[in-house]
Amino acid sequence: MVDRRDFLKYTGLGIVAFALGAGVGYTLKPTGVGEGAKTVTVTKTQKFTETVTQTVTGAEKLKAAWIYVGPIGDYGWTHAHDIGRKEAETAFPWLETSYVENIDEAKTRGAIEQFISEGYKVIFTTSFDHMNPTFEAAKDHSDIIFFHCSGYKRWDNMGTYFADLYQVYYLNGLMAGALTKSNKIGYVAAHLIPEVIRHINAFAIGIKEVNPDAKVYVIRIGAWYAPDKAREAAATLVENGVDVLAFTEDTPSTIQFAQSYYEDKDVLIPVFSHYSPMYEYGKDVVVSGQVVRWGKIYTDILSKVYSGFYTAKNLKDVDYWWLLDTGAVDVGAETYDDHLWINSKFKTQFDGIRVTEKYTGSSMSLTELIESRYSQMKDRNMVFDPFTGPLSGTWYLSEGGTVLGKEYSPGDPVEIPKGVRLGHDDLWGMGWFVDNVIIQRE
Amino acid sequence: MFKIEVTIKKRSRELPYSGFIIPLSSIIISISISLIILGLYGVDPGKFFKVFTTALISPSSIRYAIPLILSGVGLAVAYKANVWNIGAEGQILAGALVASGLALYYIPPTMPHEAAILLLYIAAFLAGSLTALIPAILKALYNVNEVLSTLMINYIMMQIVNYLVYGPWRGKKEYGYPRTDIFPNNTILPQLEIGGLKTTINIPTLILMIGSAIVIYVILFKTKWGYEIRVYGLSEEAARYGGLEIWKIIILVMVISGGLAGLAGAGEVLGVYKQLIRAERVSAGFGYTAIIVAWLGNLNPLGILLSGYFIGVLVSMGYTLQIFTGVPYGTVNIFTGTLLLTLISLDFLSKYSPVIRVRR
Amino acid sequence: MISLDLIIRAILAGTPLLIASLGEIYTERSGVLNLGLEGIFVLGAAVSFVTTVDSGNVILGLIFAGIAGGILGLIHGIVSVSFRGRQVVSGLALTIVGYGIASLIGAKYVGKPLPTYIYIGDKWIILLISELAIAFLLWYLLFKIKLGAIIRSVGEDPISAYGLGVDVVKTRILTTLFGGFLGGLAGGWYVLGYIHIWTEGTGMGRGWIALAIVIVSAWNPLLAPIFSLIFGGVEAAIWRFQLPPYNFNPYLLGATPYLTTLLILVIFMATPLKKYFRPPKALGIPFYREERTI
Repeated sequence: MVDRRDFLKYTGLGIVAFALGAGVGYTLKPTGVGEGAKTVTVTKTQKFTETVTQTVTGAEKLKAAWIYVGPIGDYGWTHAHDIGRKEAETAFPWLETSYVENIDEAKTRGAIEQFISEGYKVIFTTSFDHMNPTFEAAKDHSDIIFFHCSGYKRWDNMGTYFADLYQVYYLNGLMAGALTKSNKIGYVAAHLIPEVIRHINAFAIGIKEVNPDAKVYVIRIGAWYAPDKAREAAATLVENGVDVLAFTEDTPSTIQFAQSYYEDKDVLIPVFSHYSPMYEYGKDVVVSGQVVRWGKIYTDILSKVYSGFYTAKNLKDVDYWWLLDTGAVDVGAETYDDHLWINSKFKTQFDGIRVTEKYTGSSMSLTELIESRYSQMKDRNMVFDPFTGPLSGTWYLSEGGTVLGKEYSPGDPVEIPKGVRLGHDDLWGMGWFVDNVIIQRE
Repeated sequence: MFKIEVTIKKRSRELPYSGFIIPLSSIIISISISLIILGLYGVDPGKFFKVFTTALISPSSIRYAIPLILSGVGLAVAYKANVWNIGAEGQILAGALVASGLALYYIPPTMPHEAAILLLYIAAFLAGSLTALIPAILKALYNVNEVLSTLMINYIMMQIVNYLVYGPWRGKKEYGYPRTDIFPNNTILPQLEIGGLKTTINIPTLILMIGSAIVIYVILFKTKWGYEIRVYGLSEEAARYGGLEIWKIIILVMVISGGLAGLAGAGEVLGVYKQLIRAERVSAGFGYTAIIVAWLGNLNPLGILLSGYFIGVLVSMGYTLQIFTGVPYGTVNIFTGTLLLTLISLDFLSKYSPVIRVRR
Repeated sequence: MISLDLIIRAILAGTPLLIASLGEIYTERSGVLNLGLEGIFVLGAAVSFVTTVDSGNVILGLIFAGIAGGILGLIHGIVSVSFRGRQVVSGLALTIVGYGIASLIGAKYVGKPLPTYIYIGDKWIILLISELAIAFLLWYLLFKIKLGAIIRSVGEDPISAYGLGVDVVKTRILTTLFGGFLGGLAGGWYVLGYIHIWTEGTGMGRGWIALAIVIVSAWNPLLAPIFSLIFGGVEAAIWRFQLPPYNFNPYLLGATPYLTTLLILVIFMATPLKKYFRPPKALGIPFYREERTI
């Protein structure tokens, strides 16, 4: 008969030993296991602007469903998508729509199946979180058309779309660089994935153009929809000397924080609105921001589905990557119809700031610089792009990756030579930060 | 002035068939309470029932029932012995974590599918058991309250999983997203197909779930071990008097219940998500919901098969309720919570009869 | 090493944890373990937000949050004390109910701005002093006067207490009610005094931390402020540590409150310290008499 205490103590020792062993084993584990280092999806970037409007009377209604990651009441990302859904529904009498909110990756598959059983033929999933379940569902339901927003996986019946904001963030950066006095600018980031990294970089490039000394401090909150976390992150940034804020999170929480800070402490923290027009949440603090008109993309996709141009067989190369020139995105924070809207309170300030245009060397007001860059990027021929060398930075993402065909691993310095412009794939898989971004190391 | 006096008398014998009547009437009572609450909120009861009946036959109900039943059966063993393991959440995560780590970094891609899966299940069972063994030993040695220790371990496991998916294990092909890479093909569990359509039900864990319910039923009610567990659960003193070695019972029930929860965790990551994701989403509170499943099933493994399926229906109904009525998913929690509250209250009323007297 | 802004943030984040844990100390001292604290906190957060958005009044928000918490506490008292339901099951059920009601009542308010809230700002020192004063008062009540002695006797040895004429059931229900009230109030303070925003899920996990604080404080109101400050600091560090001069991964740090609690729990039980720091003897054990009056 084993003594009770002894037994327990030995088992306890065993557990400790196991834990130690596992720990040691873990640290010694072979690294870099796994096939092929990366999967780069190269596809034609579609730039349709003409909308095929076709009215077929008497035909069956097309049923389309949207799956949202947050609530439509977030007044940010999901809200903007829902405005787009409503726009499509109003535009097409033959369209019937439905949606479901608050679907994270665990719930996505169930929501998709539910919609399919309800007879929906087109399903939009609107978060990076939804990518894998959507992809799985697309392979299983070859007769249903899927469109996934912000991802990179496509199938015969699954296309992707995105309205990208990097140009808009660059323009916001021009403004932020002029507004900071402490030379510390804060950025509340949902996740550090290429999309957000690209936006932070574009913002930082704009800042550097008008203020080479300013740095961007980033806090990652680890969720797309987390107004409470965004608020805490914003407060932490401000307590540490940041005096201008931008963010990628799906709610106006950061703006509400800045507005209340202004009211309580009489300290102005200028902030940039994100996705939906958020001016009314912070009339004293919102400078400008990014506006997305998803309706442009949704009406385009749905009219092409309805007319039979898109089927469940030909979507493998359909990838919308819509920029300023398409009208799907814009600079502003007041309404969805903004065209380079800047809060007048700040605009008068910008009128008085003199800057030198870096290419022509001519002297102009900041407002004029912003306006000229805006029209340059609105141009179909993309006369200007923020991601043009010389740029330098450091590779960040643990998976490593390529820039201009060259391989990089974490910590490697990245140099973009003068005059060289990054292409779609470099932007799409961006895993490095420009050098005026201060980021927690991996 | 009236004085209301309530006296409670123990019934000479329990109400007949209380094992069936109590859960059933709890369900009815909590449905009514929830309908009233939802009605106040403007939800049409017709819609509620439509959603409910749709969920009754939906494969996703079985998908949710699998982890709930597996952990619920395990918990029932512990609760039968009056050992309050509320750490199923952490034990599920431990199983998921170990299975993911092995699948990603140790199992060679050349290993046969069946061998890999068997190995992963065994590892996940051990991981869950070890996680449960810590509070078990602490209880047996020092009488540390297992409710508090298992609760703390749940959160420790959550943080460890999150640390790994945000840090060292973050996928090389996930573009910086906090989750691991997709597991190699030979470690992914095959999924059930109904009418040519894949479901999210994975077959091996489904079989394990049914098998474990039967095995545990036999152990609990047909073996000496089961008898000892039940005696200890009824009265520690009686167990001591009967010469039972209590520490062995505590360890045994915790190892079983932790191991089964570990299996559930492996099933979730290997069979449903095919990668390790953030802790809040791997298990999504199943470890706590399984406690309800265990009690609703009257701590009887066969009853748990039913109650687990029922709660699985509720979980999947939560999503559809959101689609149909716009009521937030979390509302289902009101239903499950009231269900549990009425259940334990009725359990009391079946054993005791209150006598209410109004006196002047 | 530790900057002042982090300490202030720790005080702000620790305040709701302290309020909830002080209430739970009373509940547990009387022998009732209320795992529903988690749900009570989350419900209190939602109720305070909804009330304040509708009424524009912070005080009303806090009161309603407290009342909602008190109701859940009362239910826990009735089910687990009067009906002798298992405390753990009843508590968990209440947590789930609290989550559910919170998301239901808050659904239509998501995204609405708070018209008014409690702003601490530079007055954190006043907050800290009042916290310490309240903790001292609650310690005094619990250890220095007869009321406290009754509560503790019910949690240590209910049968003897009953023999001495203490109404065990009533005492336990009242302390559970009190704990629930403070738990709801804590949730309300979390929204109105700290985070200033609400969404589905706001406050989740804080109730468990409060339970942990109760343990590491050895069920003593005087120790609760210290651990609330530390655990609040860990919460704040998740954001603060991403910035210079710290710059390190905060996710493993999140496990420290729970790990500390587990270790301290073991130390309390396994060392001679047990004499001074141990859970109330009758914690979690229903008071049992064949015939009695509720």
